[in-house]
Amino acid sequence: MTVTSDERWDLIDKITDRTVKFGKYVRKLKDVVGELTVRPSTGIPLAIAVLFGFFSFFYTFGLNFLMMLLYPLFTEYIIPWLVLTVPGGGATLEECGVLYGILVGDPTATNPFEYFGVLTTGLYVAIAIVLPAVIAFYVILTILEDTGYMPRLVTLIDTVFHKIGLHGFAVVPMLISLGCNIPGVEATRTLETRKQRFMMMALLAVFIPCGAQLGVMLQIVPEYLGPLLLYFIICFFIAGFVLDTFIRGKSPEMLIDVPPYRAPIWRNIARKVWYRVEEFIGVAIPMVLAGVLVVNILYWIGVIDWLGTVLAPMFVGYFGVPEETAGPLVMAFMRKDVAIAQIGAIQMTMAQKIVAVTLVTIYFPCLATFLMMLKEGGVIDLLKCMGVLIVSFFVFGGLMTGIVSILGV
Amino acid sequence: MDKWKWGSVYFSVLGAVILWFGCWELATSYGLTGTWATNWLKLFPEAMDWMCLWRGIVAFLAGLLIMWGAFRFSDVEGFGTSVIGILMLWTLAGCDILKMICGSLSGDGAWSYSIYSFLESYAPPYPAAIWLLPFSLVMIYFITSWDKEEEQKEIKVATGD
Repeated sequence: MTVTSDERWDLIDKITDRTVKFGKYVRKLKDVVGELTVRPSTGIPLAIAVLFGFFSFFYTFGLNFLMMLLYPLFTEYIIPWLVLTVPGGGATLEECGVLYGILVGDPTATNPFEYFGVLTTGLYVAIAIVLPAVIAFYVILTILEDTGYMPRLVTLIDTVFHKIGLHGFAVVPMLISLGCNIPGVEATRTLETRKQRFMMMALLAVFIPCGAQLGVMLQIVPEYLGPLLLYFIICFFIAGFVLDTFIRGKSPEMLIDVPPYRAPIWRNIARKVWYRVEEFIGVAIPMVLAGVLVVNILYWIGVIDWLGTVLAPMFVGYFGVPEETAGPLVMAFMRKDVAIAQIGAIQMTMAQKIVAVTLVTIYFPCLATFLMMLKEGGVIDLLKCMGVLIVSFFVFGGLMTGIVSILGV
Repeated sequence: MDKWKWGSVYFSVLGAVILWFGCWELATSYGLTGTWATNWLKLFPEAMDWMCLWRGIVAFLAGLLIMWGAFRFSDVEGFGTSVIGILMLWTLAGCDILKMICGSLSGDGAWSYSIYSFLESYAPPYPAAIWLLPFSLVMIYFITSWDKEEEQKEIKVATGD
């Protein structure tokens, strides 16, 4: 049986008449608050407050609470037990066996960051630093999504992102990347054109620190985290503007359905957070452990020392950081958070710490993000991203060196 | 005076106070208020964390919005603006309360707790947002009143009165 277009519309009308009830629209307080949230004069102040709440929750619940709860587990139980139990130990690292050195690390270390062992620093960073930060981040992100605030933030920020050839949806991968860059790169699929996806991938990989990095940055340069984030945001927009100018492609307008505000359902939030954290555990924890293992092997066979010597003129001369920073930068390719953790163990002035943290953030994305970029953008886009990254590394890393020396930090 | 006019006056004053405390926190972030805080019966912390500047900006803007909305409080947009300002203040206070709770339970990197240190976490000094929180809860009354009045208006329209 064939149905004409008119008959189909008639059928639709009949179904609609029977099933849909039309009432008079009454503008309620909830609707007004919803409208005011996307209006710049009221929406921007609220966005500033929401982002304050976002980072405050991340800092308080993730770092001050979960991390502090897990800290004694490692310092009082797991690490002392490993130091005594793993065979081949000695009074100093030189007296220890290779296996002990790789698994436990330096027995004279006074805090978990200084061991550099796969089962000591590796596990500590993965479970006590990265995981709390990521859990806290995803809890608050999911609450914002489920209350209906995220689409409003997207709408509000659209004008700003249009200046660099992106649109409001770019805030989604940007915020997700603050938790972990891997799903952040995946989230660039929400952008329409290839130009937008490439730009977002490159900018995320270079300028957006992941949750784990933020956590460790807070441990190393807590008083400068705010200015550092502001610096990365400014660099993000400068680099975005340059990329938009030089890259061909379209930047279409955005159409978005803004849902009404709703009270979140806690069961849904718990489930969404669990799925996200589960995915993160599956990818990140093995990567952290593998990263520490690779760096330990490189250290034992002398590659780190060699790299330090080769790259020393650049690090010492151009960026003004100690040559030991070369090791963490190699590590940064495996896991940036571990690299920042290693930087924390190097003796440096505050200015050098700030520059080193900046360099690790701008440096190559971690291996897992790198592979995700390859999957999402292909070889050509990945190579282009690397080009952006190398230029940014020298330009914005050098700029930070200049800033801290001018300000006399 | 009907309750909306009272509300207008109340939230104008509250907005101005929050605005003033926003300025206070902005000054604190530059280390200008240490001595004042000590002189004020130790009600406020002398120095705050790295987010103090951000907190000051939020409090300042919240005060501004509450005040701005309170000037046309019986109008839905004005009332909504005040509600947004109050939501911003609640965000600040909520973060401070969460910080106190987490601080009392985390044990500062050791699993040793004492009742004294647990309770001490909840003692003053408090950030300004916590002191202002009880005064801002009046907004709940106005929100429920608004919803009830809207409901009554709907019923009147439906019944044709």
